[in-house]
Amino acid sequence: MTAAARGLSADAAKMSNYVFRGDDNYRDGPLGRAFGAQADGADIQNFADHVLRKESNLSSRYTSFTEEVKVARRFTSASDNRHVRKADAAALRGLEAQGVLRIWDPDLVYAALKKGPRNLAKQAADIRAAMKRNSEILIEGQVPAGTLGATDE
Amino acid sequence: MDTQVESCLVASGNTYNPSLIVLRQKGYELWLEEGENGSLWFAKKGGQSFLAYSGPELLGLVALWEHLGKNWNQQKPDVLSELTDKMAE
Repeated sequence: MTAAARGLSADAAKMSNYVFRGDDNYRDGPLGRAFGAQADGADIQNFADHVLRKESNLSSRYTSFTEEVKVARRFTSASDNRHVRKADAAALRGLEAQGVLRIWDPDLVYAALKKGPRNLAKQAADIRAAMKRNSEILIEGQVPAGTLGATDE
Repeated sequence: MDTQVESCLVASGNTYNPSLIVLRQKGYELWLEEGENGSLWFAKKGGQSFLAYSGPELLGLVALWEHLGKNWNQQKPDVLSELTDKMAE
């Protein structure tokens, strides 16, 4: 199936082989909030609040990853990759095709915000720019534990 | 393996608003204007104004001005070239 047929943008189709997340507090288990009551009950429900205003004590329906392991490491307190997890991009795309999660690259986020309320549309370009600087990808939904692995790069 | 634990603040989206809070506390007038690829971020205090492309960048320019003032445009020593030469390929 082509990327277009799955409703993915060209950029999402070009996504690196892995995406990475640096998180001192993650130990094991799934990451993120499953579609439905879990995601709908999160403190943060829109891209603007997630990218520009998220405080560490707030939950979100989105989980941030980056395509660069060096960037992910900088979000941890360690100087190595012990707190960085990676997810196989092909596996994530498969889960997206099953409706388990949705992958949002900066251009998809921009396009979605532009279609939304004016106060969010006005922030679309800054949100896209902020995401691109850190090669940020948002995952909406829950990433199963089996898709996450240690990073040895 | 280097196991030294350190802290790192990354210029991600959620550093934009805190940067603006600091600038406002420092007495700067702040505003945004629409640009081609995102907002243009402005600060002004007295006769000096600043233009940047993100909140942390705006705060950085103010720090540069507050540290060096009108002599901000210092190109010696050439730290940029020094770091570029050392950068791992």
